[in-house]
Amino acid sequence: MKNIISILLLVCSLQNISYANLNELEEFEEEYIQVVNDPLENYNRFMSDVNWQLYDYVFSPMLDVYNTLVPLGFRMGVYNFFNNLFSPLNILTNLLSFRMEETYNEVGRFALNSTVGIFGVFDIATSNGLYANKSDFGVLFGRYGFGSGFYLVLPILGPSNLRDSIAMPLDSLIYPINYLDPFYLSVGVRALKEINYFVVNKPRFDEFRKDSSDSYLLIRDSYEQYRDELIRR
Amino acid sequence: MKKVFVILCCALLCVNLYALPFDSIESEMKARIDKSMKIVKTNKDSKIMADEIFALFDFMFDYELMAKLSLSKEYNNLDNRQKEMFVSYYKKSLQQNFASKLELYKDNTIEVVGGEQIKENRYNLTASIVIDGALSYIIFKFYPKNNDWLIYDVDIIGISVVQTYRSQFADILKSSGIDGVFDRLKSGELFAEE
Repeated sequence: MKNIISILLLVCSLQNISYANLNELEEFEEEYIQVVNDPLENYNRFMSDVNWQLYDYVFSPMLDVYNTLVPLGFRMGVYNFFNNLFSPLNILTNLLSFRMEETYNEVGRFALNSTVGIFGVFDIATSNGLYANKSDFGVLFGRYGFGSGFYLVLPILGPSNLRDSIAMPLDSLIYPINYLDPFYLSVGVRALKEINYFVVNKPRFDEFRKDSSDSYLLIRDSYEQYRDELIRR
Repeated sequence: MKKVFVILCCALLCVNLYALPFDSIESEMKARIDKSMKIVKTNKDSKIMADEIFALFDFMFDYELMAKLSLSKEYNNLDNRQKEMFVSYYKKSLQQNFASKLELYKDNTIEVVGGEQIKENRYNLTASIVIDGALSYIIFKFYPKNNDWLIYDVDIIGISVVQTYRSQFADILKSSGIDGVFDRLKSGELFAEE
C-alpha cells in the first residue's frame, strides 16, 4: 500500500512538472509571436535577388576599387560629413515626437560637429558623449501609432515597408544635399555618399548575408525589428 | 561513506561555482563583459578570442531552451538523440556567428547600463554599444531556472537572436521538414564557415 501511494505521489509530481514546463514554454512562445506582414513576398524575393545581383556584379567590384584607391581616413571623413547632414532630420523628427532630451542632444551634436568637427568631417561629439539619436519620418509616423503596413523591397534602396516608403520623400526634403544646384551635382554628391556608405559598411553586409540560409528572411525580420526598436526607444 | 561525502561536497562546490543568483547578475555580467573587452583588445585570432569569451559566458546561457524556442513546437517532435544533436549544432552555430562578428565590432566598447526585472520570472540586463555615433543597446534576457538565472535570448539593436533563427527554421521546416533543418545545420549554412 505504501508503495502504491509513493508511486501515485511520484506520478502526480511528474505530471505537475510537465504541466509547469508546458506552461513555461507557452509563456516563452508568447514572446515570439512576431509575424511580418509580407503579402508581396514573391515580388519582394525577386527584387531582393535583383538587388543582390546588382550588388555582386556592379556595386561590389566598384566598391572594392574605391576602397583600394581612397585612404581609410578620407573614407571616414566623408562618412562622418554625410552622417552629420542627417542631424536636421533627426532634430526635426525627434522634436515632432516630443523627445526633448534627444532633440537637445542632437542640436548640440550638430553644432559641435559642424564647427569644431569642421563641417562634420570629424565626429567630435561622439567622443564627448553626445550620441546620435537616429530618427526619420517613418519612425515619427510609427511613434504616432501608424503600423508598418506590409514589407516592401525597393529597387536598389533595399528593405523598407509601406509606412517607411511613404515617409521617404519627406526625409529627402530635409536632407540638404538634395538642394544642390545644378541637379546633376546633387546626383553626383548623392552617389558619392551612397558609395562611401556601402564601402564603410561592406564587411557588415557581407557578414550578415553569409550568416543565413535565407538572407531574404534574415534581412526582412531584422529590418522590421530594428525599425520597431527605433520607434519604441 | 567518507568518499560519498567528499564527492557530494565537490559537486555542491561545482554547482556554486557556476551558479548565477539574481543579486549577482549585474555585477557578474559587468565583470565578464569587462574581461571580454580586454580579450578583444589582445587582437588574437577571432576564433581564439571567441572561444575565450564564450568560456566566460557559457554557463549563463541556456542553449537548450534557446534551441527549443528557435525551433518552436517542432522541437517536441524530435526524439532524444535528435534533440541532443540539434542543441549541439545550434550552439555551434551561435558560436560561429559570434566569432565572425567579433572582427567587425572589436573596436566598439560595451558597457553595462543596468537591469530591470520586467516581471517576476524575467530580468533584462541592458548593455550599451556605440555604433556609427549612435548609442545602441544589447539586451540579455534572463529567466530563473533551479535558483539560477540563465540567458534565453539576446536582443542586439532590437534584433532578437532567437527570433531570427525561428523565422529561418520555420521557413526550412515548411519547405523541407526537419531533415532540411538538420541538413542546413550540418552543412554550416546557418552559420559562417571559417
